Amino acid sequence: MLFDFAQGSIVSDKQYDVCILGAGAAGITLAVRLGRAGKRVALCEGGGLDYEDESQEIYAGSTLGDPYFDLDIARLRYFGGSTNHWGGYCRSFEAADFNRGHMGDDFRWPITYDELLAYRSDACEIVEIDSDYQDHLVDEQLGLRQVDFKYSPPVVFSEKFHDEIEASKNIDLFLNANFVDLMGADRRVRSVKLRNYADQELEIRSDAVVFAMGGIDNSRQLLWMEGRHGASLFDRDLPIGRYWMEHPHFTIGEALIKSWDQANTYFALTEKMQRTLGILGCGVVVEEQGDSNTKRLVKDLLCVAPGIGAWAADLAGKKLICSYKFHAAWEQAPNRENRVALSDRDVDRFGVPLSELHWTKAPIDRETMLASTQQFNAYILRENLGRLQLRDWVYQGDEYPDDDVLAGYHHMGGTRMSHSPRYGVVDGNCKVFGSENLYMAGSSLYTTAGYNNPTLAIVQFALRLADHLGAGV
Amino acid sequence: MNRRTFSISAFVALTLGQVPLFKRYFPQRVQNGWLLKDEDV
Repeated sequence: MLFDFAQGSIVSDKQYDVCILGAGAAGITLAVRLGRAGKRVALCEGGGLDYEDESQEIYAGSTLGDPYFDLDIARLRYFGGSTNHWGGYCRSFEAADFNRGHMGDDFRWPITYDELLAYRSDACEIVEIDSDYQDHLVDEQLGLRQVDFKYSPPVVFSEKFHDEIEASKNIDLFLNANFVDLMGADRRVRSVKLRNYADQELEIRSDAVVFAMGGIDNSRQLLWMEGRHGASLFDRDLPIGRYWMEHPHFTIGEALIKSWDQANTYFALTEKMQRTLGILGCGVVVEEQGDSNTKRLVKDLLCVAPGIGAWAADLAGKKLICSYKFHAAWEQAPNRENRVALSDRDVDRFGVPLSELHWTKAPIDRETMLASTQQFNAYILRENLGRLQLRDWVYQGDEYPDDDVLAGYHHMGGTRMSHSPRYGVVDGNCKVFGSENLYMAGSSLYTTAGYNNPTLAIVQFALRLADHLGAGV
Repeated sequence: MNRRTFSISAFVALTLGQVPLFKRYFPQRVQNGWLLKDEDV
C-alpha cells in the first residue's frame, strides 16, 4: 500500500514488525525481502515519488577539510534514493577487505567475507547483473590482477519495485514522511515519529526500527537521537559519525601504450601484494583518448627521452600506439577523525542540525595510490607496452588538485559495524550497540571501504539484515 | 633534477633526511612526469 503524507493527515493503528526509515537501495531491498516473507513493514520515505526541492534541501550541509562536493548534490532524497542517478558500476567487497586485522582494530570486521558473499548472487539478481565475477591474475610476481566489473542497466529501485510495493499487503510505503524522533525507553524503541511538510505528525509503532537514510544521514539522525535521548535507547559514547570514508578518484596521469586489448579494464593488486606493501585496495585504469593527444604526448616524450620518443613516434605514424588517461580510484583507511558531525548553527526545517562533514585524506591513502601505480607501471615497462606520464601533483608530492573527479560520491562508515563499541556503532547483525531493536542499513555500516563501488554490497547487507529480522526463517 | 621535478615538500623531506614519498616508490628516472628507463634517454 502507498500512503502519501503530503495529501493530509494519516493515523496508523498498526503494529509493524519492522519500520524502515529511508527508501533507497538499502531500504527498498530490505522492505521487499521482508514483505515477501510475510513481515508487516512500514517503509518511510522523507521525499515523494519525484524530486522536490523542499525534500532535497534537507540534505544540505557543510564540508571541512579536503575539497568535496556540496552535500545536497551528492545524493538524492526521494523514493529510490541515489539509485535515481547511480552509474550502475557493480563490484563488491573482496576477501582481502575482511583480512586486515593485522592493520589494527580500526580495520577489523565482526563478520567474515563468506557471510557477505552468501548474498551476492541474490544481490546481483536484483541489480540485474551476472554474478560470475572473473578476475584474472596478470602477473604473480608483481601482484597485478585484472578485476571484473559488472554494469547494472542501471536498475532504478523505485521503478523496479514501485508496483510490487504498492500492491503488497505487507508493505506500507509512507511518502513525504520525514523521520523526526524515536519514542521508547529501556534500550527499546517503541515507535517512530514522522512529520510531513505541513508539520503534521504521524506515529508508527514497530517491533524493530531500521535507519536506511544513507551514508551521511544515518549518522546525522543517530547523533541527533543520542543528543535527545542520551543512553535511554542505546549505548552512550559510541563513535557515531566517525570513520566516515570515501573513495578518492583522480586522474593520475596519461600514457602512451601500444595496441592493447586490456585498456579500459581495471587493474588492482593481489591481497598478498597489498599486504607486502602495507597498502589498501586501489583500482587503476587507462582510458583511450583521441589522436591529437597522442601527437601531443609523443612530442613531449621526444623532448625528454629521445630514444623511447623516437620509438613512440614511429608507432604513432603506423597508428600502433594510443594515448590514454590514467585514472585511479582507491580505498581510504578508516580514520576516526573523518566524521559526520552536527552543525551548531544550521538546522533543517524540522529542527534537526544539518550535517557537517569533516573529511581529509591521510598519507597512507596516497601511498596506496602510489604503490599501486608503481606495480602497474612496472608491468607496462617490463612488457614494453609504453610509458606513463604522471601529473605534476603526483610526482612533486603536492596537494591533491581540486579540479579533478575528487571522489566517487560514495558515502561509507559513520555507523559502522565492529566487534567492539569502541570502534563501531553496530554489531555484526547491524544492531546498534546497547539497543534491543534499532538497526542500521546501507553503506554507513562499512567497517572498511574497499575500493569498489558500494551499491552491490549495500544490497547484500540489506538482504542479510532482512534475513536476520525474520525473512530468512 | 629540473624545476618541475622538485617541490617544496620534496625539499623539506630531503633536508629532514627523509626520502620523499614519491621517490620511495619511484626511485627511477622521472622526467617531466614520464616514468622512464635509463636507456630511454
